[in-house]
Amino acid sequence: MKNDTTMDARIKKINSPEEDELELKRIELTKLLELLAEKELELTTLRNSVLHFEHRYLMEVGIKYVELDEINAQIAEKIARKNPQDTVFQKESEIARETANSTAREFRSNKILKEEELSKDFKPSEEIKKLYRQIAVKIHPDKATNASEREYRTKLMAEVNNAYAAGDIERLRQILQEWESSPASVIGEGIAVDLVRTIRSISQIKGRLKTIEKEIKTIKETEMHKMMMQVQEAEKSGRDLLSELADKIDSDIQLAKERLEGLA
Amino acid sequence: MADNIEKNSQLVKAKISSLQRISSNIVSRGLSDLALLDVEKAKITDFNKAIQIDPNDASVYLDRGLAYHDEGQYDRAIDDYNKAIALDPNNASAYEYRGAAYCCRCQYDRAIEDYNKAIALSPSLARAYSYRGIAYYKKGIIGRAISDFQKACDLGDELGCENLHKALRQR
Repeated sequence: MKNDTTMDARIKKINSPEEDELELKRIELTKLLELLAEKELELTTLRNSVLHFEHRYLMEVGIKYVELDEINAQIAEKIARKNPQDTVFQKESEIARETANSTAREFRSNKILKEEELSKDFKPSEEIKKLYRQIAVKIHPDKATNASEREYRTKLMAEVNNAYAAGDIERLRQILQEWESSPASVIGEGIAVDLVRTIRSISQIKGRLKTIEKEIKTIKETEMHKMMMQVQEAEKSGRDLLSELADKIDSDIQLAKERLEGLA
Repeated sequence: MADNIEKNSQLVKAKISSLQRISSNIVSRGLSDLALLDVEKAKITDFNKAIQIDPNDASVYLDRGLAYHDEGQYDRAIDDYNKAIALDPNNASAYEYRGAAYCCRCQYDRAIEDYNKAIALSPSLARAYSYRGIAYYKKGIIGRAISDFQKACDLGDELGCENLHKALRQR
């Protein structure tokens, strides 16, 4: 009877307490790794979404504030030049110039990345997300058993994040393939060693999960994220808040320009 | 390969640091401007409904005109003021508001014409003097500007008093 033989085999295989413990810890580790991969994906997706949105905001709206502040500064300076004795106008013109300069500075310092890289909304496909999870489970630095392996995995993970950010699915496939064909990291140096390593990995992963939660929370507290949420919510009802905002500033710019010309 | 990884990790660091700024002037300004925009939009929607119910109520056109004005949509504001004036030609406020919209578009002659009408209909309308003074001032007719600021100030308009002092100081 087939069932009986299976049963027999099961009963006969008696694990030592360490083996049982290791088995349980390995199951826990596998589950944690899956969760970790999911959380890494969430964090990197969030980060990239906000970055792409920030770029869009700066190019559609921020750049207009720079122009508006510059014209307002020119208006204040012109008025101040016309009334060299008036200290109030002198002060107002200094403030307007400082405002214009700091807005321009802020705009320039934020515009650090290449335009083509960020010009579209960040919308990763399900396929690339799946690939990311698959790779993250395998190569995550918190699975490392020693310092040099950890360093290598950290760098590789950074590359995975970059490829994901760039939507480079081919690069991700290549990384996975290279990883699979590289010599597997040694397992089976004895149960005690394995058990220690597994427990250490579990604790590292738990730490990393906490860090990820904190980072996600920090990003969600930024004004940029708040605005992104508002804009996405409005998109659902067919509104484009950024272009509405841009139109509003455009009309302010138009007025300021007319005013500046009127002062000539 | 190693170089590439190094370069990429630098890029990642740069990206992260740009996200760590919780607050930024350009962004917080956008957020508050968006909030204002929404308030105006909601107001205009309400006025649209009111106009559908009673298309002959001049005061609703005035209110919607003011909402457009606050949004910087001066053409639409002026359209609404025109409608209000057609329905109620003796409404001094309608001329005063339209004058303000012309003023914002730097059409000072038209603005002054409207303020004249507003003042003819309601000689104690302090703001009309105050704004007519500004329009004269922008045109460089300082004497008239000062007498309008004076009149507005006498009628209790604070902006008029403030502008009076500014204009006198510059003389």
